[in-house]
Formats: sequence, structure tokens, C-alpha cells
Amino acid sequence: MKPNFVETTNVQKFYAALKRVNERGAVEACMVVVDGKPGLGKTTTLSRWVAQTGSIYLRAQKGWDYNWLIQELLTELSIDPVTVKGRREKFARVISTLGDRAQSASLMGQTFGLVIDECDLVSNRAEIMEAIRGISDLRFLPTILVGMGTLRDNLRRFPQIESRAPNKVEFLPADLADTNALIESRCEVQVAPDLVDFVCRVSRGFNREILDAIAHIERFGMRIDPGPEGITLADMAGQAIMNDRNTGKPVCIPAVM
Amino acid sequence: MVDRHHPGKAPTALLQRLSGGLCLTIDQLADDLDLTNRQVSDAAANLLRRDYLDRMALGCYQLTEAGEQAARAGEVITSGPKGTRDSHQLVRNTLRQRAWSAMRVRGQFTVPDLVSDASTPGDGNPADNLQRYLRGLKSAGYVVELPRRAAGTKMTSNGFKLFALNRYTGPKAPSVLPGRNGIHDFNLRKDVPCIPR
Repeated sequence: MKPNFVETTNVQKFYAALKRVNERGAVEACMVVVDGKPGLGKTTTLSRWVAQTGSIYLRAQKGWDYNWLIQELLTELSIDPVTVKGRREKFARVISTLGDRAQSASLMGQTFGLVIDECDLVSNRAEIMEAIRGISDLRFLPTILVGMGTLRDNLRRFPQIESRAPNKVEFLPADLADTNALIESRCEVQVAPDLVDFVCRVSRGFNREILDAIAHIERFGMRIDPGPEGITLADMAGQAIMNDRNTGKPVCIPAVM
Repeated sequence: MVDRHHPGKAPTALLQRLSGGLCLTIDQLADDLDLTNRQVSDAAANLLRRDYLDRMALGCYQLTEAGEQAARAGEVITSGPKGTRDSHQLVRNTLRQRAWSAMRVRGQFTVPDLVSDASTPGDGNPADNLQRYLRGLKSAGYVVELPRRAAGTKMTSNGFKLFALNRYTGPKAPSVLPGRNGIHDFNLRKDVPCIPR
């Protein structure tokens, strides 16, 4: 499988939301909420974005409190929390360093932001959410809150935060075009349209399952000499194509379609 | 006359000339100190960087409170460092730095995962580079190899090694020491030797 990053519709939506943040009218509206079910490519997208932009990535923990959050931020900013005394001084260092980093990034023409993953775990905690809002507001720093189901609902409890996050990106299952783009860009053997369509249907648009299918198709395709169209559904009849995420059992292509 | 070739003389002379709350223009300062307008402007920029000066209007300067204190204390401006460096140091934008960020986000990863996240079109052979990097990190215990592998796709492939980030000390990517057994951790500011097998 080719190690290519594919800009699916979800990735394009994410980039578009960041672009809207950069071109926003209200300066404080600098939060982006990213949510969606597991396996739709959230981590891959964020991993790529964080790696390419050098942004700050934090993973929320169940027991987070204000001090823990600030200490994690200081560590991510290469400042030893032990060397900075007092809550006020620590907060000031975080703000000033984030400002410096954002300025350096903007000079290089990059977007610099703060990503908080697994934000569902803390999205009902006013102390943490207000701290994130405070940090984001003081430097108008693009802040990306990532979660799964409850993040969007919990944010409604905080109108002052909800109003700062008009840009919401829901990662949705891949459609046929996205499935085709993924297969075309990552699969090392040519795949016929009927097999792409089958993969799209049985994977229910989950990237994880599509990648699993690509691995199966490649393993099969390397052993045979496919026709001009590539590997077809008929070629792979009776073969396992992926594992079902609910049962864990292999999903096989029916011998007779 | 101010020594025009000494980098600290003009700013020091400017600091002394403006002490006492005076607000003077570039032309007046150039006449008084026997400098060119450009040299006065450069000296003023030096004092502005130290927050010793306020620009009251275009080409018109006055000392700040900090500047007045420095003038009273007879501070001599030199071209050397202005104290410890508090501001952040830039994180280099290299393949290994980007891969280190990706390791932090993913937690568990294969080499192709890192290549997908970290590579840019200008990178020569990212997979080879990252394999060598992971070998170095693994030897120092920063990365562990998991017992299971991600399925490979090539004929007779044993699959891809699956790694997990075992020790995250900060955002700066450690560098593998050439010819030595270990890595240098920029976050801890020390060399970390290999773990003996």
C-alpha cells in the first residue's frame, strides 16, 4: 500500500474550516469543532496537520484540572513547569510563548493552532472549557476541539464557547468518490469500478475498513494477472475483503453476485 | 565625536543625549552627536528593541522610564547578548521532527503511517530515513516494537513492524548520535544512552 495522504471530502472540509477561521470576521470566533465516529480518519487528518504545521497537540485526560492543563501546555511549549512559579506566571508564560509561536508560524506562512483531542472527556467541565476559551481568546489562537459523540452536545451548555465555534466539521462516512480516491491513491494494483463500489457498500464508508480492503485486494492482486480494468469483483469471488467491525468476522465477496 | 565603527557607542551616546526627558528629532541628534541620520536611526532601533525609547512622531525620540533608568545608571550598550533567552526556540521543520509530532498524535504507528503524515514532496527517501530514526529511538527506549505486526501486502511479506511511543519528553525530536550508542534529547538537554540488551 502506498503511504500517500489522500484529501477526502472530510479532509477538505477540515481545511476549509481552518481557512474560514483565518478569514473570520469576528476575531474571537477561532474555535473549530471536529467530531465523527471512530475510523473515519480524524486521527490521520489531525496527525498529518499537526506534523506539517508544528501545532500543539494535547490529549485530554479524564482527571484533567486547570493546573494539569497548564502544565501539559508548558511541557508542549518546551518550558519546564517546575521553573515557573505560581498560577499567574505560568499562565502568562503560556500566553506569551503561544503568541511567539503563532507569530513565527505566520511569518512562515503557516497556520499554528492548538489541538485538544478526546475533548469529550472534559467537554462538560466548565473549569477546563473556560481555561481553553481564555487561552484561545487572548491570542485569537485557532483551537481545534476533537471528539466523538458528546462534544457538540456538551458545548451547548457553554454559550460563550459555542458562539466562538461556528465552524463545526463532522467527519462523515466516505462516499463512492472518496472510496475511489482512496483506492486509486493508495492501492498498488488497479481496481475495477465494480469492486470499488462493493468496497464502498460493505465498508459503510469507514476509512479503516476501506484500507483493510485495499490490503486484501493488493495481496490478492499481486498473485494474479488482472485484466485491463484491474481486479474485478468476479476475480475476487469467494475471497475475504475485510473484517466486520461489529463481529470481527471476515467479510467475503459472494461467489455468485 | 562618537566612534562610528563601534557597534555600541552610538546607542550609548544616544541614550545619554536623550536623558532628562528630552524629545529630539533625528536631525538634531545627528548634529549633536556628529552622526549621519542613518546611524542615529540604527542606534534608535537598538534602543527601541530594548524598550528604552519611544517614537513620539516620525523621526522624533524620547526615552521611556526604563531608558531613563538605564541612562541614570550609566548603562553601556554593547553588541553582545542581552541576557538569557526567554523566548521559545524555533522547532526545526525536518522530516524527523514532523515524524516525532506524528508519533505523539498516533501513539502506535508503522513506518508507512509516519511517511504518510510527515513526508513532504522534497524528502528524498523518507521510509529509509525514518526506519533508521526509529532504530535509534528504539535503542534508547523511546519507542518500543510491539509483538504484533500490521499486515503487509507484498508477496511473502512479513508485514510492517508496529511501534509505540514509550517515552515522550517534549515536543523537540531527539536526534540520533552519529557513531555513538544513544540519542540526544533536546527536551532534557542531555544524551540518553542505549539500553543494554
